[in-house]
Amino acid sequence: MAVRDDIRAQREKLKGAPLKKKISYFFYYYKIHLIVAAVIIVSLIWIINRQLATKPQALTGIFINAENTDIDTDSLERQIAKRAGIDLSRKSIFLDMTNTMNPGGPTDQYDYTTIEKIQTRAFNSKLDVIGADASNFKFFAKQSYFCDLRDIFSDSELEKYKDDIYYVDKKVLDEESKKMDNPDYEVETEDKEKAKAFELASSFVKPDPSEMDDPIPVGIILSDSSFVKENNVYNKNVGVIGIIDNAPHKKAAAALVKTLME
Amino acid sequence: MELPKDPAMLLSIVNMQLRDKEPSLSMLAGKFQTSEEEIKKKLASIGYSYDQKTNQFV
Repeated sequence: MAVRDDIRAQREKLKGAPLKKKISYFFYYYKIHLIVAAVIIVSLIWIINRQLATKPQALTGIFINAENTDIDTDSLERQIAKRAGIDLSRKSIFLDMTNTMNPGGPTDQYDYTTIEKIQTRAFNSKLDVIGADASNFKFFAKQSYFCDLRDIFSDSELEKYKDDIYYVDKKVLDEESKKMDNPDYEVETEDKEKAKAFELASSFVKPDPSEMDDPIPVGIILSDSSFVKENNVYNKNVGVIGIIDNAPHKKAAAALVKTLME
Repeated sequence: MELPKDPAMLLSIVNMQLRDKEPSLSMLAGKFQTSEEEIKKKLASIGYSYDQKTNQFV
């Protein structure tokens, strides 16, 4: 009551007072409120501006053990955009070449961080493509990460890549998956030296579909890619690229593969 | 959606879910129609155990 009486008394005094005095009174009593309101308004403007400026992604690719992480991907992105009909003024392409992982699958804390990064995106359908050194591609292929390339490319397109297709045996994958249903089952970890030897470019032997019960084409080996050769990517170890099974932008992913394989 | 079967992949999904979405392992297990024990057993096979305090497998 005392406060209200005080406010009423102050307002009585201001009646007829010059504008300057009224303004001075206003700032004296409400400066904290003004400061808080100004901070809120500026923050809202910044958030809205940032949201409007952030372009949605038209293609997201993660590359593991690319060997050369300092690559200018702008030219590649423009070629992909042109092929896939992506307007780069409105959408963005994100190709992350900086990831590393021990060959043959995760071993240490850093590997698990890489896995988590990839899994988070894939789980939320925000990843289109994984490129990796062959032993790590094999690791992801065993998890049924990749789609059947026959669902993406035409027969004539696949024929063009026939010497570069990476196959997995679906029968073997299904058997492994059934074994993993048993919580007591201990997954065999890949011998690291064998994994390193498997992916060496000088001695790489791609899996032979004729030796498989149910071969599925899931990857494209990048050894013949001019982009790869020109940029010293996957130089020492063979790189393979696959399209994620739940990729939200399969057309753009196909454009990436076609551009890389030109 | 199913949880991955491979322990290494399971670890990353479980920790992501516990960090960002599920307040406890029991709620995560319920969401994915599995048991806490099954998740713990699988991740123990790669040397990870559940820390209730941080709600993460470490």
